[in-house]
Amino acid sequence: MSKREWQVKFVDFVPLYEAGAYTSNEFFWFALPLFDGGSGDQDLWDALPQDVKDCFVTQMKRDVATTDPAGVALAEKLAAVRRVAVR
Amino acid sequence: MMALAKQAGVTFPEDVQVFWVKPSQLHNTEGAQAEYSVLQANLGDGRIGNAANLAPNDLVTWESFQNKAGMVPVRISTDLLGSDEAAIAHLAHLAHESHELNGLYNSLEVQGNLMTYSDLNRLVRPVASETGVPLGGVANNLHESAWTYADQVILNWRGH
Repeated sequence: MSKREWQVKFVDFVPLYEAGAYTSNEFFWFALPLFDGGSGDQDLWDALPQDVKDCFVTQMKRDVATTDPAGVALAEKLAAVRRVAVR
Repeated sequence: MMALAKQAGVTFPEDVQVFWVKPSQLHNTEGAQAEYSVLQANLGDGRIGNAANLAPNDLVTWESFQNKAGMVPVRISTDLLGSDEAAIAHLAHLAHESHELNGLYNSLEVQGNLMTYSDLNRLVRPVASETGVPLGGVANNLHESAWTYADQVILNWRGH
């Protein structure tokens, strides 16, 4: 997904999230696939609401079972997030 | 619409809040036009995760479904507004979600507000996708009985 595409999505989603239409975990799952290890990841991280960042931090502290496709996908995405979240 | 639903006897637990969203802003991966807090997530390429990286025996509570304000969001697609019988479509979907959420609330209350993630899936997930992929639900669970309930609400509302 291009930087422009996620910006468009965020413009729509953030107000809905702030209004309560999604839980923090749901917003976490919405944002997670947008991390692709590319140059837009830092901007994406910076744009996340703090309680959604907290969900990422919680997930990054947990062990991820990489014995199934979902676990592998989650581990891949969290690795991309780690690169920008620690800066 | 909520007034119509109430008039038709459709009620929700008191901490539920309804939002109208674009179809692309729904979170479920099954193409449903209404949903409440989703504990599954689409990771792309057909890979499904769950919202808190939950293992089958991890515990879920009513609070797992709440937003940061302590409310449980129900989302209805604005696509339904364009249907020939928009009011009926909205009412049916609200009735469906209300049946599931009331049933889930009651089940959690009976079980001390604790349920395993796999039990939750058995209770509220479809049995299988349209292509036959098992989704964790069991026959006659809350999800399936919610459609029977929604049909009954519509029939009653139409005066049958």
